[in-house]
Amino acid sequence: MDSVFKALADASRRDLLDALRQEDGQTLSQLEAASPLTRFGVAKHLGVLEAAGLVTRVKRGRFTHHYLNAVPLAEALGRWIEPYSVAPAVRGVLDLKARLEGDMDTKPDFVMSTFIRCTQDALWAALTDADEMGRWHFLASKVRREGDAYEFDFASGERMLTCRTLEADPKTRLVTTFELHGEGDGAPSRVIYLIKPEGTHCQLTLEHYELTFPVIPGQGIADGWSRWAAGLKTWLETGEATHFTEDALA
Amino acid sequence: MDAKPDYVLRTFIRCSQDALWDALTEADAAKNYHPFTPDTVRDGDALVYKLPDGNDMLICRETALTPKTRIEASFEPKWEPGIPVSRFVWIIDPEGEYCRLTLEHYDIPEGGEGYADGWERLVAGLKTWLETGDVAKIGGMGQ
Repeated sequence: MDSVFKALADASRRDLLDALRQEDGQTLSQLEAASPLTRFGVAKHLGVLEAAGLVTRVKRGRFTHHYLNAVPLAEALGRWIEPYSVAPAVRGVLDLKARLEGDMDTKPDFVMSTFIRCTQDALWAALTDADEMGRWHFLASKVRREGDAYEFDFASGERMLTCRTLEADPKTRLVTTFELHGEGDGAPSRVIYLIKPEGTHCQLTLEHYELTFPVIPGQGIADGWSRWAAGLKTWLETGEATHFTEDALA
Repeated sequence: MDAKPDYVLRTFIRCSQDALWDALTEADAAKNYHPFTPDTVRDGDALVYKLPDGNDMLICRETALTPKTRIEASFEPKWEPGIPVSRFVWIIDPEGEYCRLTLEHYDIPEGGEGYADGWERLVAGLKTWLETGDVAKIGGMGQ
């Protein structure tokens, strides 16, 4: 049991467990690429996690894959949490448990902020009016409202995305689901839009939570949100409907 | 530049590649969109961003240029003494009627958490200026 607490007492090792929670079965090279540590450092920490039973190694051909194993964690929690509730190692366990369970206070998987010269009303309307969204959205050519859900369709009529409104605090905060359709798009995730007026501008911050695939800067979902925000800003500032669609998709 | 950037920011601007290149390399252009500086001067390879009192705020020295496409530069803060120098890259990719602009910032020192906010303001102002022709200095409450 000591080895579990020792393994969890280190922030780098908790980050490695987080990385595996995001994408299980990563190789040493993948984990190294997403970590500030050296290859040697990552390997050393993985060794400690493996010794504690928190990570399981599976060799397939030339590659070794690492899998998260939460069983020792659950055992440790059950047996030790009461007497040691103030010890740093246990705080580490609690942090980790919250993160593994996708607690609302966890760090978003993707964050982006931009500044748009418009009123708070105009920004709220652009984010919540289905017809308006169809004008500036980079990928959807039609947006339909169905109850509390927005359906985003490709030009072909195929469904692209469903966003269900979870919370709406008019002009300030919007929380929606983010459900991509099509193969390999992963489980539903959650997006929070925050509007903060600042003089003649509004700051719009977007937080994407519970993504089941890793975010690579400038690619995939990160690139998509950049295009999304660029279209929204151009629409509100110039009144021009510009779809910043990737050439290959246009 | 094969290391991993500490910060990446991307936007899409409806403008020509030339206009975007000029906006990023001509000292006179910065006053139209830079959130924090009233005045920018060129000193050889460097763009020197001034504070309102005339002192230097930031020096960005170009270390490698690929015309209209790529700018590598140092990032030397002068607003406080002793901040380590870091480096950044602008990458311009034309996509039809607009340009994709990517910023990569490397070696951000401890305490540089605020750089992201500065870049977001600068890039938002740059897009507004290029698309509307209006000066857009999004410098927070003092704007």
